[in-house]
Amino acid sequence: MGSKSATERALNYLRRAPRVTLTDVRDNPGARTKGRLVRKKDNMAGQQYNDLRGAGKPPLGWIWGDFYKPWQRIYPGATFFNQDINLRREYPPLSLLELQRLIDLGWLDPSLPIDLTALCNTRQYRCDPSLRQFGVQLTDEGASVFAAKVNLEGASVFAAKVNLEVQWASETAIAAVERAGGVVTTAYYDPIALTAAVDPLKWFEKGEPIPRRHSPPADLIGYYTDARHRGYLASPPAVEAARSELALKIGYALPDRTDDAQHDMLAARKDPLQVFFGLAPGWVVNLADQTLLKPKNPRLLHYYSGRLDASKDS
Amino acid sequence: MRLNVNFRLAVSVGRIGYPARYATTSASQSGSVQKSDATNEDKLSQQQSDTDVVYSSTDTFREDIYLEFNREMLFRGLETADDDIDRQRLKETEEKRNVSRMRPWHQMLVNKQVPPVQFNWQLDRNALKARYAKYGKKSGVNPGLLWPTDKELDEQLALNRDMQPYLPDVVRKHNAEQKAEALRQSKRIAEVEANEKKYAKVLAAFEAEQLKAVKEIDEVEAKRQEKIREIQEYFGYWIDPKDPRFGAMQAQKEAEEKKVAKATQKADILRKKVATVTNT
Repeated sequence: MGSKSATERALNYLRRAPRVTLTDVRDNPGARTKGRLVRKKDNMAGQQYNDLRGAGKPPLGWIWGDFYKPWQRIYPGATFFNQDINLRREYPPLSLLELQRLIDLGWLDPSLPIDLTALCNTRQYRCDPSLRQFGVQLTDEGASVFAAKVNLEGASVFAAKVNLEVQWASETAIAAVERAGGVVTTAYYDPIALTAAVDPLKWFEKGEPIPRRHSPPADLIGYYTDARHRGYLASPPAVEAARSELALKIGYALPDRTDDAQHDMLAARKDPLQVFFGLAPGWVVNLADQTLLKPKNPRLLHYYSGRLDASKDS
Repeated sequence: MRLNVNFRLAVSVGRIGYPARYATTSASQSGSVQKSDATNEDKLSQQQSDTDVVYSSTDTFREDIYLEFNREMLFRGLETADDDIDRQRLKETEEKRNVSRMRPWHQMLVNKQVPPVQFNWQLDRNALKARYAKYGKKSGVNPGLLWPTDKELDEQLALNRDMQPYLPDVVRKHNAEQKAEALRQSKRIAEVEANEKKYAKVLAAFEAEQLKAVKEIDEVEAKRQEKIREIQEYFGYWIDPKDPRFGAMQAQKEAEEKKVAKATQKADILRKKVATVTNT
Protein backbone atom coordinates (compact mmCIF):
# COMPACT_ATOMS: atom_id res chain seq x y z
CA MET A 1 0.00 0.00 0.00
CA GLY A 2 2.60 2.56 0.93
CA SER A 3 2.29 5.68 2.99
CA LYS A 4 -0.29 8.11 1.81
CA SER A 5 0.05 11.79 2.31
CA ALA A 6 -2.83 13.70 3.83
CA THR A 7 -3.66 15.31 0.54
CA GLU A 8 -3.83 11.94 -1.19
CA ARG A 9 -6.11 10.53 1.45
CA ALA A 10 -8.27 13.60 1.24
CA LEU A 11 -8.56 13.24 -2.51
CA ASN A 12 -9.46 9.57 -2.24
CA TYR A 13 -12.09 10.44 0.26
CA LEU A 14 -13.47 13.08 -1.96
CA ARG A 15 -13.78 10.66 -4.83
CA ARG A 16 -15.99 8.37 -2.79
CA ALA A 17 -17.76 10.87 -0.64
CA PRO A 18 -20.99 12.59 -1.46
CA ARG A 19 -20.95 16.29 -1.83
CA VAL A 20 -19.13 18.03 0.98
CA THR A 21 -21.33 19.48 3.67
CA LEU A 22 -20.75 21.21 6.98
CA THR A 23 -20.72 17.90 8.79
CA ASP A 24 -17.72 16.78 6.78
CA VAL A 25 -15.65 19.68 7.91
CA ARG A 26 -13.69 19.04 11.12
CA ASP A 27 -10.23 19.51 12.60
CA ASN A 28 -7.40 17.15 11.93
CA PRO A 29 -6.66 14.91 14.92
CA GLY A 30 -4.37 16.68 17.39
CA ALA A 31 -5.13 20.12 16.05
CA ARG A 32 -6.88 21.12 19.26
CA THR A 33 -6.46 19.66 22.86
CA LYS A 34 -9.19 19.46 25.48
CA GLY A 35 -8.49 20.50 29.06
CA ARG A 36 -8.13 17.72 31.72
CA LEU A 37 -11.32 17.02 33.56
CA VAL A 38 -10.79 16.81 37.31
CA ARG A 39 -12.74 13.79 38.41
CA LYS A 40 -14.11 13.27 41.86
CA LYS A 41 -11.45 10.67 42.75
CA ASP A 42 -8.67 13.15 42.17
CA ASN A 43 -9.74 15.42 45.00
CA MET A 44 -9.69 13.47 48.35
CA ALA A 45 -12.77 11.69 47.03
CA GLY A 46 -14.91 13.57 49.49
CA GLN A 47 -12.99 12.33 52.54
CA GLN A 48 -12.28 15.72 54.02
CA TYR A 49 -14.79 15.52 56.80
CA ASN A 50 -14.44 11.91 57.79
CA ASP A 51 -12.37 9.89 60.22
CA LEU A 52 -9.92 9.44 57.37
CA ARG A 53 -8.84 12.99 57.85
CA GLY A 54 -7.34 12.13 61.18
CA ALA A 55 -6.37 8.60 60.27
CA GLY A 56 -2.83 7.40 59.65
CA LYS A 57 -1.66 8.39 56.23
CA PRO A 58 -0.25 5.90 53.77
CA PRO A 59 3.48 5.78 53.12
CA LEU A 60 5.17 8.04 50.61
CA GLY A 61 4.66 7.01 47.06
CA TRP A 62 1.29 5.37 47.73
CA ILE A 63 -1.50 6.24 45.33
CA TRP A 64 -5.12 5.27 45.38
CA GLY A 65 -5.67 1.68 44.41
CA ASP A 66 -3.04 -0.80 45.39
CA PHE A 67 -1.53 -0.44 48.80
CA TYR A 68 1.55 -2.44 47.88
CA LYS A 69 2.39 -0.65 44.65
CA PRO A 70 3.72 2.82 45.25
CA TRP A 71 4.05 5.27 42.41
CA GLN A 72 7.63 4.47 41.62
CA ARG A 73 6.85 0.83 41.02
CA ILE A 74 3.76 1.18 38.87
CA TYR A 75 5.17 3.31 36.09
CA PRO A 76 7.97 1.67 34.13
CA GLY A 77 9.31 5.06 33.26
CA ALA A 78 10.40 5.45 36.86
CA THR A 79 13.06 2.76 36.42
CA PHE A 80 15.22 5.43 34.93
CA PHE A 81 15.77 7.12 38.26
CA ASN A 82 14.50 4.86 41.05
CA GLN A 83 15.06 1.31 39.92
CA ASP A 84 17.67 0.56 42.58
CA ILE A 85 15.91 2.35 45.42
CA ASN A 86 15.70 -0.87 47.45
CA LEU A 87 19.34 -1.70 46.88
CA ARG A 88 20.89 1.58 47.99
CA ARG A 89 22.93 1.63 51.17
CA GLU A 90 22.38 4.26 53.84
CA TYR A 91 24.88 5.52 56.36
CA PRO A 92 23.11 7.58 59.02
CA PRO A 93 25.34 10.56 59.68
CA LEU A 94 27.13 11.45 62.88
CA SER A 95 28.73 14.86 62.90
CA LEU A 96 31.87 15.71 64.82
CA LEU A 97 29.78 18.23 66.71
CA GLU A 98 27.46 15.49 67.93
CA LEU A 99 30.41 13.31 68.81
CA GLN A 100 31.97 16.09 70.84
CA ARG A 101 28.67 16.66 72.60
CA LEU A 102 28.35 12.99 73.48
CA ILE A 103 31.86 12.97 74.92
CA ASP A 104 31.33 16.18 76.87
CA LEU A 105 28.06 15.05 78.38
CA GLY A 106 29.50 11.71 79.42
CA TRP A 107 27.66 9.45 77.02
CA LEU A 108 30.93 8.25 75.55
CA ASP A 109 34.22 7.49 77.25
CA PRO A 110 37.11 8.72 75.08
CA SER A 111 39.59 6.65 77.06
CA LEU A 112 38.15 3.57 75.36
CA PRO A 113 37.83 2.89 71.63
CA ILE A 114 34.59 4.27 70.19
CA ASP A 115 32.96 2.01 67.68
CA LEU A 116 29.44 1.47 66.38
CA THR A 117 28.49 -0.63 69.41
CA ALA A 118 29.55 2.07 71.84
CA LEU A 119 27.61 4.67 69.90
CA CYS A 120 24.46 2.59 69.73
CA ASN A 121 24.69 1.80 73.44
CA THR A 122 24.36 5.50 74.21
CA ARG A 123 20.92 5.31 72.55
CA GLN A 124 21.61 8.78 71.18
CA TYR A 125 22.55 7.35 67.82
CA ARG A 126 20.53 4.81 65.91
CA CYS A 127 21.43 2.46 63.10
CA ASP A 128 18.83 0.00 61.81
CA PRO A 129 20.18 -2.79 59.56
CA SER A 130 16.67 -3.74 58.46
CA LEU A 131 16.42 -0.36 56.71
CA ARG A 132 19.53 -1.02 54.63
CA GLN A 133 21.58 1.12 56.99
CA PHE A 134 25.17 0.02 57.04
CA GLY A 135 26.76 2.05 59.81
CA VAL A 136 28.14 5.36 60.95
CA GLN A 137 28.97 8.11 58.52
CA LEU A 138 31.30 10.67 60.06
CA THR A 139 30.58 14.15 58.75
CA ASP A 140 32.72 17.21 59.21
CA GLU A 141 30.17 19.53 60.77
CA GLY A 142 31.83 20.85 63.91
CA ALA A 143 35.34 20.06 62.76
CA SER A 144 36.69 23.30 64.21
CA VAL A 145 35.01 22.64 67.54
CA PHE A 146 36.31 19.12 67.69
CA ALA A 147 39.91 20.17 67.52
CA ALA A 148 39.50 22.75 70.24
CA LYS A 149 40.28 22.17 73.84
CA VAL A 150 37.34 21.74 76.17
CA ASN A 151 37.13 23.77 79.34
CA LEU A 152 35.81 21.48 82.00
CA GLU A 153 35.52 22.92 85.52
CA GLY A 154 38.41 25.27 85.14
CA ALA A 155 40.80 22.71 83.71
CA SER A 156 41.51 22.53 80.00
CA VAL A 157 40.56 19.07 78.90
CA PHE A 158 41.56 17.84 75.50
CA ALA A 159 38.61 15.60 74.87
CA ALA A 160 39.31 14.95 71.25
CA LYS A 161 41.91 12.18 71.30
CA VAL A 162 39.70 9.33 70.26
CA ASN A 163 40.05 5.95 68.62
CA LEU A 164 37.11 5.96 66.23
CA GLU A 165 35.84 3.11 64.14
CA VAL A 166 33.20 4.19 61.63
CA GLN A 167 31.85 2.88 58.34
CA TRP A 168 32.22 5.99 56.20
CA ALA A 169 34.18 9.16 56.76
CA SER A 170 34.72 12.32 54.79
CA GLU A 171 38.23 13.61 54.25
CA THR A 172 37.71 16.71 56.38
CA ALA A 173 36.31 14.67 59.24
CA ILE A 174 39.33 12.35 59.16
CA ALA A 175 41.61 15.37 59.12
CA ALA A 176 39.86 16.95 62.10
CA VAL A 177 40.19 13.81 64.20
CA GLU A 178 43.83 13.23 63.26
CA ARG A 179 44.78 16.81 63.87
CA ALA A 180 43.49 16.44 67.40
CA GLY A 181 45.66 13.38 67.88
CA GLY A 182 42.98 10.77 67.39
CA VAL A 183 42.66 7.82 65.05
CA VAL A 184 39.96 7.00 62.52
CA THR A 185 39.37 3.65 60.85
CA THR A 186 36.63 2.76 58.39
CA ALA A 187 35.43 -0.82 58.66
CA TYR A 188 32.72 -2.80 56.92
CA TYR A 189 30.06 -4.76 58.80
CA ASP A 190 27.87 -7.13 56.82
CA PRO A 191 24.16 -7.01 57.77
CA ILE A 192 24.22 -9.96 60.19
CA ALA A 193 27.32 -8.77 62.01
CA LEU A 194 25.80 -5.32 62.03
CA THR A 195 22.66 -6.62 63.74
CA ALA A 196 24.82 -8.06 66.49
CA ALA A 197 26.98 -4.93 66.80
CA VAL A 198 24.07 -2.53 66.97
CA ASP A 199 22.26 -4.31 69.82
CA PRO A 200 24.55 -6.83 71.51
CA LEU A 201 22.21 -7.42 74.43
CA LYS A 202 19.39 -8.49 72.16
CA TRP A 203 21.79 -10.73 70.24
CA PHE A 204 23.05 -12.46 73.36
CA GLU A 205 19.52 -12.97 74.64
CA LYS A 206 18.84 -15.04 71.54
CA GLY A 207 21.58 -17.45 72.50
CA GLU A 208 23.38 -16.94 69.19
CA PRO A 209 27.14 -17.22 68.88
CA ILE A 210 28.99 -14.04 67.96
CA PRO A 211 28.99 -13.90 64.15
CA ARG A 212 32.06 -13.55 62.01
CA ARG A 213 32.29 -10.51 59.79
CA HIS A 214 32.36 -11.12 56.08
CA SER A 215 34.45 -9.18 53.58
CA PRO A 216 32.95 -6.19 51.79
CA PRO A 217 31.19 -6.68 48.43
CA ALA A 218 32.92 -5.88 45.18
CA ASP A 219 31.62 -2.34 44.89
CA LEU A 220 32.88 -1.46 48.39
CA ILE A 221 36.23 -3.19 48.19
CA GLY A 222 37.74 -0.12 46.58
CA TYR A 223 36.66 2.04 49.50
CA TYR A 224 37.90 -0.17 52.32
CA THR A 225 41.23 -1.05 50.74
CA ASP A 226 42.02 2.62 50.20
CA ALA A 227 44.36 4.24 52.72
CA ARG A 228 42.90 7.66 51.95
CA HIS A 229 39.66 6.49 53.54
CA ARG A 230 41.63 4.79 56.35
CA GLY A 231 40.12 1.51 55.28
CA TYR A 232 40.59 -1.45 57.60
CA LEU A 233 41.86 -3.56 54.71
CA ALA A 234 44.49 -1.03 53.65
CA SER A 235 48.10 -1.67 54.60
CA PRO A 236 49.29 0.23 57.69
CA PRO A 237 52.30 1.86 55.95
CA ALA A 238 49.95 3.20 53.28
CA VAL A 239 47.70 4.57 56.01
CA GLU A 240 50.67 6.30 57.63
CA ALA A 241 51.65 7.85 54.33
CA ALA A 242 48.09 9.00 53.71
CA ARG A 243 48.04 10.56 57.15
CA SER A 244 51.07 12.71 56.40
CA GLU A 245 49.72 13.51 52.96
CA LEU A 246 46.42 14.71 54.35
CA ALA A 247 48.17 16.92 56.89
CA LEU A 248 50.16 18.53 54.11
CA LYS A 249 47.11 18.85 51.89
CA ILE A 250 44.93 20.60 54.45
CA GLY A 251 47.77 22.35 56.23
CA TYR A 252 48.08 21.31 59.83
CA ALA A 253 50.89 19.90 61.88
CA LEU A 254 50.59 16.27 62.85
CA PRO A 255 50.75 15.90 66.61
CA ASP A 256 53.57 13.79 67.97
CA ARG A 257 52.57 10.39 69.25
CA THR A 258 55.08 9.98 72.02
CA ASP A 259 52.33 10.07 74.65
CA ASP A 260 52.49 6.46 75.84
CA ALA A 261 49.62 6.79 78.25
CA GLN A 262 47.04 6.32 75.54
CA HIS A 263 49.14 4.46 73.02
CA ASP A 264 47.61 1.05 73.64
CA MET A 265 44.12 2.43 73.45
CA LEU A 266 44.81 4.32 70.21
CA ALA A 267 46.53 1.32 68.68
CA ALA A 268 43.61 -1.02 69.37
CA ARG A 269 42.12 -2.38 66.18
CA LYS A 270 39.67 -5.13 65.55
CA ASP A 271 40.53 -8.16 63.49
CA PRO A 272 38.67 -8.08 60.15
CA LEU A 273 36.48 -10.92 61.43
CA GLN A 274 35.89 -9.48 64.86
CA VAL A 275 32.68 -7.77 65.91
CA PHE A 276 33.40 -6.91 69.55
CA PHE A 277 36.64 -5.94 71.20
CA GLY A 278 37.98 -8.74 73.33
CA LEU A 279 35.55 -11.34 71.98
CA ALA A 280 36.14 -13.70 69.11
CA PRO A 281 33.55 -14.90 66.58
CA GLY A 282 31.97 -18.21 67.52
CA TRP A 283 31.90 -17.56 71.24
CA VAL A 284 28.59 -17.57 73.06
CA VAL A 285 28.16 -14.98 75.77
CA ASN A 286 25.85 -16.17 78.54
CA LEU A 287 24.75 -13.30 80.72
CA ALA A 288 22.80 -15.45 83.19
CA ASP A 289 25.88 -17.40 84.23
CA GLN A 290 28.31 -14.62 83.29
CA THR A 291 30.31 -17.09 81.24
CA LEU A 292 31.77 -17.49 77.77
CA LEU A 293 31.22 -20.70 75.85
CA LYS A 294 33.81 -21.47 73.22
CA PRO A 295 33.37 -24.13 70.52
CA LYS A 296 35.80 -27.00 70.19
CA ASN A 297 34.52 -28.60 66.99
CA PRO A 298 37.32 -28.17 64.40
CA ARG A 299 34.86 -27.41 61.62
CA LEU A 300 33.32 -24.63 63.63
CA LEU A 301 36.72 -23.29 64.60
CA HIS A 302 37.75 -23.29 60.97
CA TYR A 303 34.58 -21.48 59.93
CA TYR A 304 34.80 -18.81 62.61
CA SER A 305 38.50 -18.24 62.14
CA GLY A 306 37.88 -17.54 58.48
CA ARG A 307 41.06 -19.06 57.12
CA LEU A 308 39.75 -19.61 53.63
CA ASP A 309 41.51 -21.68 51.04
CA ALA A 310 41.16 -20.69 47.41
CA SER A 311 41.05 -24.25 46.17
CA LYS A 312 38.50 -25.63 48.61
CA ASP A 313 35.88 -23.49 50.26
CA SER A 314 35.92 -24.04 53.97
CA MET B 1 22.11 -37.23 105.00
CA ARG B 2 19.96 -37.78 107.96
CA LEU B 3 20.14 -40.36 110.58
CA ASN B 4 17.08 -41.85 112.12
CA VAL B 5 17.89 -41.98 115.71
CA ASN B 6 15.96 -41.69 118.85
CA PHE B 7 16.92 -38.12 119.12
CA ARG B 8 14.26 -37.34 116.56
CA LEU B 9 11.71 -38.25 119.09
CA ALA B 10 12.76 -35.25 120.96
CA VAL B 11 11.70 -33.07 118.04
CA SER B 12 8.12 -34.05 118.30
CA VAL B 13 8.14 -33.81 122.00
CA GLY B 14 9.09 -30.27 122.68
CA ARG B 15 11.91 -27.90 122.38
CA ILE B 16 14.87 -29.87 121.17
CA GLY B 17 18.18 -29.09 122.61
CA TYR B 18 16.74 -28.65 125.97
CA PRO B 19 17.23 -31.77 127.96
CA ALA B 20 14.35 -33.09 129.92
CA ARG B 21 15.73 -32.04 133.16
CA TYR B 22 15.01 -28.46 132.16
CA ALA B 23 11.40 -29.29 131.62
CA THR B 24 9.26 -28.17 134.48
CA THR B 25 7.07 -30.36 136.55
CA SER B 26 3.88 -29.35 138.20
CA ALA B 27 5.76 -28.74 141.36
CA SER B 28 8.00 -26.10 139.88
CA GLN B 29 5.09 -24.20 138.40
CA SER B 30 4.32 -22.91 141.78
CA GLY B 31 7.38 -20.81 141.45
CA SER B 32 10.14 -22.61 143.15
CA VAL B 33 13.48 -22.46 141.44
CA GLN B 34 15.07 -25.60 140.15
CA LYS B 35 18.10 -26.91 141.75
CA SER B 36 20.04 -27.11 138.52
CA ASP B 37 22.12 -24.17 137.28
CA ALA B 38 19.31 -21.96 136.16
CA THR B 39 19.89 -19.46 133.35
CA ASN B 40 17.61 -17.11 131.48
CA GLU B 41 17.16 -19.82 128.97
CA ASP B 42 16.01 -22.17 131.64
CA LYS B 43 13.54 -19.65 132.89
CA LEU B 44 12.23 -19.28 129.39
CA SER B 45 11.96 -22.99 128.94
CA GLN B 46 10.19 -23.18 132.25
CA GLN B 47 7.62 -20.69 131.05
CA GLN B 48 7.15 -22.22 127.64
CA SER B 49 7.16 -25.79 128.56
CA ASP B 50 3.90 -25.37 130.33
CA THR B 51 2.20 -26.41 127.16
CA ASP B 52 4.77 -29.01 126.15
CA VAL B 53 4.51 -32.66 126.76
CA VAL B 54 6.68 -33.47 129.67
CA TYR B 55 9.35 -35.96 129.11
CA SER B 56 8.77 -39.00 131.15
CA SER B 57 11.29 -39.37 133.86
CA THR B 58 11.89 -42.95 132.84
CA ASP B 59 13.21 -41.90 129.39
CA THR B 60 16.23 -40.02 130.40
CA PHE B 61 17.68 -37.82 127.76
CA ARG B 62 21.28 -38.73 127.46
CA GLU B 63 22.71 -35.36 126.66
CA ASP B 64 26.26 -36.58 126.62
CA ILE B 65 25.51 -39.16 123.92
CA TYR B 66 23.52 -36.58 122.04
CA LEU B 67 26.35 -34.08 122.06
CA GLU B 68 28.88 -36.73 121.10
CA PHE B 69 26.70 -37.86 118.20
CA ASN B 70 26.18 -34.33 116.97
CA ARG B 71 29.87 -33.66 117.11
CA GLU B 72 30.54 -36.80 115.07
CA MET B 73 28.00 -35.80 112.42
CA LEU B 74 29.36 -32.28 112.16
CA PHE B 75 32.87 -33.64 111.86
CA ARG B 76 31.82 -35.86 108.99
CA GLY B 77 30.09 -32.93 107.30
CA LEU B 78 26.76 -34.63 107.51
CA GLU B 79 23.52 -32.99 108.34
CA THR B 80 22.32 -33.41 111.76
CA ALA B 81 18.77 -33.45 112.83
CA ASP B 82 19.28 -29.89 113.97
CA ASP B 83 19.91 -28.74 110.42
CA ASP B 84 16.80 -30.38 109.16
CA ILE B 85 14.78 -28.86 111.92
CA ASP B 86 16.32 -25.46 111.34
CA ARG B 87 15.50 -25.68 107.72
CA GLN B 88 11.97 -26.75 108.44
CA ARG B 89 11.56 -23.94 110.92
CA LEU B 90 13.03 -21.43 108.52
CA LYS B 91 10.71 -22.55 105.74
CA GLU B 92 7.69 -22.22 107.94
CA THR B 93 8.83 -18.81 109.07
CA GLU B 94 9.43 -17.64 105.54
CA GLU B 95 6.03 -18.86 104.45
CA LYS B 96 4.43 -16.95 107.27
CA ARG B 97 6.41 -13.85 106.44
CA ASN B 98 5.48 -13.92 102.72
CA VAL B 99 2.44 -11.69 102.55
CA SER B 100 2.81 -10.81 98.86
CA ARG B 101 -0.20 -12.95 97.89
CA MET B 102 1.66 -13.77 94.63
CA ARG B 103 0.80 -16.94 92.81
CA PRO B 104 3.44 -19.69 92.87
CA TRP B 105 4.24 -19.05 89.21
CA HIS B 106 5.02 -15.43 89.84
CA GLN B 107 6.97 -16.27 92.97
CA MET B 108 9.09 -18.57 90.85
CA LEU B 109 9.78 -15.86 88.32
CA VAL B 110 10.59 -13.34 91.00
CA ASN B 111 12.99 -15.77 92.63
CA LYS B 112 14.63 -16.29 89.23
CA GLN B 113 13.89 -19.96 89.11
CA VAL B 114 13.58 -21.78 85.81
CA PRO B 115 9.92 -22.13 84.87
CA PRO B 116 8.88 -25.48 83.41
CA VAL B 117 8.23 -25.96 79.73
CA GLN B 118 4.53 -25.69 79.01
CA PHE B 119 4.16 -25.48 75.22
CA ASN B 120 5.51 -27.35 72.24
CA TRP B 121 7.05 -24.28 70.72
CA GLN B 122 9.32 -23.99 73.71
CA LEU B 123 11.08 -27.11 72.48
CA ASP B 124 11.98 -25.51 69.16
CA ARG B 125 15.66 -24.92 68.68
CA ASN B 126 15.46 -21.13 68.78
CA ALA B 127 13.27 -21.21 71.87
CA LEU B 128 15.72 -23.55 73.61
CA LYS B 129 18.60 -21.26 72.71
CA ALA B 130 16.76 -18.31 74.20
CA ARG B 131 16.01 -20.42 77.27
CA TYR B 132 19.66 -21.20 77.74
CA ALA B 133 20.54 -17.55 77.24
CA LYS B 134 18.06 -16.49 79.90
CA TYR B 135 18.62 -19.11 82.60
CA GLY B 136 22.06 -20.45 81.86
CA LYS B 137 23.21 -23.91 82.84
CA LYS B 138 20.36 -24.54 85.24
CA SER B 139 17.90 -24.36 82.33
CA GLY B 140 18.98 -27.89 81.46
CA VAL B 141 19.40 -27.11 77.76
CA ASN B 142 22.21 -28.83 75.91
CA PRO B 143 24.65 -26.02 75.00
CA GLY B 144 25.58 -27.88 71.83
CA LEU B 145 22.37 -26.56 70.32
CA LEU B 146 23.77 -23.06 70.27
CA TRP B 147 26.12 -23.59 67.34
CA PRO B 148 25.21 -24.57 63.79
CA THR B 149 25.01 -28.25 62.92
CA ASP B 150 27.13 -29.87 60.23
CA LYS B 151 24.32 -29.62 57.71
CA GLU B 152 23.68 -25.99 58.51
CA LEU B 153 27.36 -25.27 58.20
CA ASP B 154 27.43 -26.91 54.78
CA GLU B 155 24.50 -24.77 53.68
CA GLN B 156 26.17 -21.63 54.95
CA LEU B 157 29.41 -22.46 53.16
CA ALA B 158 27.50 -23.10 49.94
CA LEU B 159 25.93 -19.67 50.29
CA ASN B 160 29.29 -18.12 51.06
CA ARG B 161 30.69 -19.57 47.88
CA ASP B 162 28.31 -17.36 45.92
CA MET B 163 27.80 -14.41 48.20
CA GLN B 164 31.26 -14.13 49.67
CA PRO B 165 33.84 -14.89 47.03
CA TYR B 166 37.47 -15.38 47.92
CA LEU B 167 38.67 -11.96 49.07
CA PRO B 168 42.10 -11.88 47.43
CA ASP B 169 40.48 -12.66 44.08
CA VAL B 170 38.02 -9.83 44.54
CA VAL B 171 40.80 -7.41 45.42
CA ARG B 172 42.90 -8.55 42.48
CA LYS B 173 39.99 -8.16 40.10
CA HIS B 174 39.26 -4.71 41.45
CA ASN B 175 42.87 -3.64 41.07
CA ALA B 176 42.98 -5.02 37.55
CA GLU B 177 39.84 -3.10 36.67
CA GLN B 178 41.29 0.08 38.11
CA LYS B 179 44.47 -0.40 36.12
CA ALA B 180 42.62 -1.09 32.90
CA GLU B 181 40.50 1.99 33.40
CA ALA B 182 43.54 4.15 34.06
CA LEU B 183 45.23 2.74 30.98
CA ARG B 184 42.19 3.38 28.83
CA GLN B 185 42.01 6.94 30.05
CA SER B 186 45.67 7.65 29.51
CA LYS B 187 45.46 6.19 26.00
CA ARG B 188 42.49 8.33 25.17
CA ILE B 189 44.21 11.43 26.51
CA ALA B 190 47.30 10.72 24.42
CA GLU B 191 45.13 10.17 21.38
CA VAL B 192 43.30 13.42 21.89
CA GLU B 193 46.55 15.33 22.41
CA ALA B 194 47.96 13.94 19.18
CA ASN B 195 44.79 14.84 17.32
CA GLU B 196 44.80 18.32 18.72
CA LYS B 197 48.08 19.04 17.03
CA LYS B 198 46.77 18.27 13.57
CA TYR B 199 43.34 19.65 14.18
CA ALA B 200 43.53 22.76 12.02
CA LYS B 201 44.69 20.88 8.95
CA VAL B 202 42.13 18.13 9.32
CA LEU B 203 39.34 20.63 9.84
CA ALA B 204 40.21 22.57 6.69
CA ALA B 205 40.31 19.39 4.61
CA PHE B 206 37.02 18.26 6.04
CA GLU B 207 35.30 21.54 5.29
CA ALA B 208 36.54 21.51 1.69
CA GLU B 209 35.27 17.98 1.28
CA GLN B 210 31.95 18.95 2.75
CA LEU B 211 31.54 21.78 0.26
CA LYS B 212 32.32 19.46 -2.61
CA ALA B 213 30.01 16.83 -1.35
CA VAL B 214 27.33 19.36 -0.74
CA LYS B 215 27.66 20.60 -4.28
CA GLU B 216 27.47 17.09 -5.67
CA ILE B 217 24.60 16.22 -3.46
CA ASP B 218 22.92 19.43 -4.37
CA GLU B 219 23.14 18.61 -8.05
CA VAL B 220 21.85 15.08 -7.60
CA GLU B 221 19.26 16.21 -5.19
CA ALA B 222 18.17 19.06 -7.41
CA LYS B 223 17.52 16.65 -10.26
CA ARG B 224 15.56 14.36 -8.03
CA GLN B 225 13.53 17.15 -6.59
CA GLU B 226 12.82 18.42 -10.07
CA LYS B 227 11.40 15.04 -11.01
CA ILE B 228 9.25 14.86 -7.91
CA ARG B 229 8.02 18.35 -8.47
CA GLU B 230 7.05 17.60 -12.05
CA ILE B 231 5.08 14.50 -10.99
CA GLN B 232 3.49 16.41 -8.19
CA GLU B 233 2.42 19.21 -10.48
CA TYR B 234 1.14 16.79 -13.04
CA PHE B 235 -0.92 14.57 -10.76
CA GLY B 236 -1.74 17.02 -8.00
CA TYR B 237 -0.21 15.42 -4.94
CA TRP B 238 3.15 14.50 -3.50
CA ILE B 239 4.45 10.94 -3.93
CA ASP B 240 7.46 9.44 -2.16
CA PRO B 241 10.05 8.55 -4.83
CA LYS B 242 10.62 5.21 -3.03
CA ASP B 243 7.00 4.35 -3.60
CA PRO B 244 6.67 1.66 -6.32
CA ARG B 245 4.01 3.70 -8.03
CA PHE B 246 6.52 6.50 -8.64
CA GLY B 247 8.16 4.82 -11.61
CA ALA B 248 4.83 3.81 -13.12
CA MET B 249 3.47 7.30 -12.67
CA GLN B 250 6.56 8.77 -14.22
CA ALA B 251 6.23 6.46 -17.22
CA GLN B 252 2.56 7.30 -17.47
CA LYS B 253 3.37 10.99 -17.38
CA GLU B 254 6.03 10.65 -20.04
CA ALA B 255 3.68 8.60 -22.25
CA GLU B 256 0.96 11.20 -21.85
CA GLU B 257 3.41 14.01 -22.57
CA LYS B 258 4.62 12.18 -25.62
CA LYS B 259 1.05 11.80 -26.76
CA VAL B 260 0.42 15.45 -26.18
CA ALA B 261 3.63 16.35 -27.95
CA LYS B 262 2.66 14.16 -30.85
CA ALA B 263 -0.79 15.69 -30.98
CA THR B 264 0.62 19.22 -30.88
CA GLN B 265 3.14 18.27 -33.54
CA LYS B 266 0.35 17.00 -35.73
CA ALA B 267 -1.70 20.10 -35.05
CA ASP B 268 1.29 22.25 -35.88
CA ILE B 269 1.88 20.45 -39.15
CA LEU B 270 -1.81 20.78 -39.98
CA ARG B 271 -1.79 24.44 -39.06
CA LYS B 272 1.27 25.07 -41.20
CA LYS B 273 -0.37 23.26 -44.08
CA VAL B 274 -3.49 25.26 -43.69
CA ALA B 275 -1.42 28.44 -43.46
CA THR B 276 0.41 27.65 -46.62
CA VAL B 277 -2.82 26.77 -48.33
CA THR B 278 -4.63 29.95 -47.23
CA ASN B 279 -1.69 32.14 -47.98
CA THR B 280 -1.38 31.00 -51.38
